[in-house]
Amino acid sequence: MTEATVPRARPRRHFRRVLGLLAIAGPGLIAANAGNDAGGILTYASAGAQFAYRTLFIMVLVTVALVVVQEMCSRLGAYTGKGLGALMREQFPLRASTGAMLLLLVANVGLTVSEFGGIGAAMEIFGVSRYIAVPIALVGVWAINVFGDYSKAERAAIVLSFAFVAYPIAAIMAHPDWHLVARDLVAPHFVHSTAFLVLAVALIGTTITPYMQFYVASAVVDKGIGPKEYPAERVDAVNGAIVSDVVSIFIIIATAAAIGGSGPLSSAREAAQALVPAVGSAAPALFGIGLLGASLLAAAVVPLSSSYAIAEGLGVERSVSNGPRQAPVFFGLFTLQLVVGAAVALAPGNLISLVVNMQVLNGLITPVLLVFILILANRRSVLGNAANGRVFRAVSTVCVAAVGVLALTVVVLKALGKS
Amino acid sequence: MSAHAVRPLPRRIRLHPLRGRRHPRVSPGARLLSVAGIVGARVHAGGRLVGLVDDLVVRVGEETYPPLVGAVVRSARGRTYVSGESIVEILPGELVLADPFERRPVESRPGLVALAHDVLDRQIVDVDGADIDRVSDLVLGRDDDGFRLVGVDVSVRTLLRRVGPRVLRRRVAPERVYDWASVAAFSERDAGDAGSVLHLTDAVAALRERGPADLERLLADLPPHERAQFPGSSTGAA
Repeated sequence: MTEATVPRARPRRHFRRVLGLLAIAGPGLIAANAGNDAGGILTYASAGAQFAYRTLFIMVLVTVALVVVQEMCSRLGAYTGKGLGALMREQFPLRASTGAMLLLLVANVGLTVSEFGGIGAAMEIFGVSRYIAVPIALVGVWAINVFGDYSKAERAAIVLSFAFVAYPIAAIMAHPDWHLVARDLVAPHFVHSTAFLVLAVALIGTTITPYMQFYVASAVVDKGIGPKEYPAERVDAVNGAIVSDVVSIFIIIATAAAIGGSGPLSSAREAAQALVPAVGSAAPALFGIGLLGASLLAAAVVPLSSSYAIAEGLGVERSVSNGPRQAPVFFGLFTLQLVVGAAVALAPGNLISLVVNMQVLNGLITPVLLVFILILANRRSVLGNAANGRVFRAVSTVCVAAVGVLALTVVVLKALGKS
Repeated sequence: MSAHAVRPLPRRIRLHPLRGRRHPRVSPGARLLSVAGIVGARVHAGGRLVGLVDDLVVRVGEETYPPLVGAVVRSARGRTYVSGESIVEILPGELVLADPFERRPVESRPGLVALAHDVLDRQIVDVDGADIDRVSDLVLGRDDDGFRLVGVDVSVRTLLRRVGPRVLRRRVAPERVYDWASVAAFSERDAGDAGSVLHLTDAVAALRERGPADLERLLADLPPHERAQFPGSSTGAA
């Protein structure tokens, strides 16, 4: 009996190794890094380039929503010991949870596209065609996860992505109009154009990413955090969300100060101009290195996260290192997302707008999945006394509704063909 | 009147019943019943529609194959518990109650398990605690005493059928079913009902997967009154 069970690898080992590494780096820093994947960086840079400081107020609102949502997700993980994939399967009708999983998959394939887009854009800075860079990255990311030492590769990618520490420095050294920055941060305002609304949805999509919410809940479960340890975890979750968004806001400020109002971004090299005040002529190279690191990191984490959630919903093995035999669903989904992501990123067209469009897609899907999360966190049958109280329920409902209304508005405007 | 006098041929009669079929078809009113298929089905009493099936309730702990002891019926008046004595017949698409039938409040009681709410879609883990599968469906079988929970369907095909139209759910044609005897009861990890997990009682339980034909045979092999057996104890040492 025991002989038959020995060869079975622990299903969560892979995930735990990743988390162990992340824990050393410090939660705030990780969150900052995780939020700033290719989609994040290029969307924040686009916001700064196109609308200068005008999106800052939206980022403040998005930060509030992110704090609320991430707190709910980590609470769900801590009190139930289950990830969101499992909770959705158990708590909602099968059709509803299947729909949610499919939406997550679509959102994450979109993100994987944008990570490979980020890899392509980064390598174009160094004069390497994306038709060479993306296929190599695809094979590399897949092989390292299946056969290799993922933790070492991940460490290397994290080190590369530290290049973006240059953003806050660049933002300060560019001497932006701080008065304008302060006004746009706190004074409620709106720019009356569809492009602004679409970008707002992209900012939501890249900041309150569906995959991050699933990742946060699973990470809490994997770390073995229960109700007792939760108060400390709550502080981490809130800090992480805030630190992450402060870095995002600096990206917008730095880009706005450098090329604000010049219209939509056309290339990564243009976005790199934001780093010139900090590092001078090394800016394109530094930006390229950072973008490459962030994209490589997320190109693995994003498909892993959706494979994990779906495999959890189906209740089957969740590990890539176990191979296609033992974990066919997980392995198949992981591979499929990488291949589709890389293939779409190779389609002709502007990589920057492709990446931003994928964030818009995420922004449209986010509110639907947030409704599921909100219902779960409201249910006393799931969380007992830790379920949302009256005040929190009101605040979180307003957040989710606001995100939903904005997404719906963009869908309607696009359907009517208004630009 | 005349419209009802001549009944159309039952849909189940096909010209080539054997072609492409791997499992014997289960006829209506048959010995096997799908829980996912009966949930949401109409409930009739004395020819009147009185509600929809919300859940089926079994009693665990005393017998290897838990007997069906009641149903939860959902109607405009809310959810009510109907005990087994009031249930006249269970068909794949319909639950028939005695008229009048006794309505009782729905309350959780030790030993009683609501199958759709507490067991369907839950995680199944092996002896090491590793995740194996989730419950796609539960199979009830009818012996001389009535229906009993006999199997846990984990096939993906059943899952897909549940996502599709309702009529597809009624058929019991699973590919992979665990004998209920190889599944130990529930473990409540924490507060709330989100903690229940089904444990396989031994590592070789995976080898005991049964098809519907096997489940039918299993029912035939059951002794008429196999009381005083407890889940786990009968198979744990096997």
